[in-house]
Amino acid sequence: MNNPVHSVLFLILNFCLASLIILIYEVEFLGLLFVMVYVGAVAVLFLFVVMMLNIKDEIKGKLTFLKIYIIILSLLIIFISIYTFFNENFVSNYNVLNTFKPLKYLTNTEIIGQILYNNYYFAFLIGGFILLVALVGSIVLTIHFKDSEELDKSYAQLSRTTLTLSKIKN
Amino acid sequence: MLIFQISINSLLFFIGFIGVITNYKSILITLMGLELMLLSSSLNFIFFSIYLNDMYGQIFSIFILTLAACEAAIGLAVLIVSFKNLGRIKIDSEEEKR
Repeated sequence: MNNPVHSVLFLILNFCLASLIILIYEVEFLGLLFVMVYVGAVAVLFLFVVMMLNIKDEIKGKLTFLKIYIIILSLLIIFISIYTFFNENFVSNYNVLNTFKPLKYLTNTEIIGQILYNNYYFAFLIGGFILLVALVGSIVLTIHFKDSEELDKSYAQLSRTTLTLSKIKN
Repeated sequence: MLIFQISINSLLFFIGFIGVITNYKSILITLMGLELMLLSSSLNFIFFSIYLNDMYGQIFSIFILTLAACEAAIGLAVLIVSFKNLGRIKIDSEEEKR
């Protein structure tokens, strides 16, 4: 692993492909949720940490296999998608041109809303609580005051009232 | 058909697992492998819910998603703090062997 940014970018590719697999099965809420949460929050977090910590290996070598692999993979994806899109033997109900059917049944979002908020509301609330704990925990771990002067300044600023302000003015 | 999906999920799981095990560079790669394992398990839940026409698998995968995000956040916070104290995130280094 010479470059951790490559690893994070391939992780993002993994998440996008997993979301695509889920979208094919008409579970559209979870597919979009995967992209939003996994790519938008977790992978961005990884990228920030990789940028901050500035990890570098001493051994620097040009990986030419990576470039060849990327070129072959992208060509395969483009060729296969164009070929299956224009070939009449690959008929499926999940084609892009069929998305303009009128909705006669419940969407995936409605079903999840019906079940999550009626039957499993306790689990939903506990999930929110877990998120709160994670938030507080990560802030507590990474916050640090340089001197105690910052704390004193914040106390002085918060305890200032209008009476003290008028006294200072006069 | 379901066997095909399960085998793909298990392949992804073992790829992440091997990434966690055979890692001598940094703890960040371990966290990435962990994310891959959690992704494969939630995909497994979704495929089972599609096969059995039961909605609980998709709802549980939402919770696995939130747990993975929380775990990544806290793990990365710990990593940042330890990097400040130690100055490196290589797993095997000469100073630890002393």
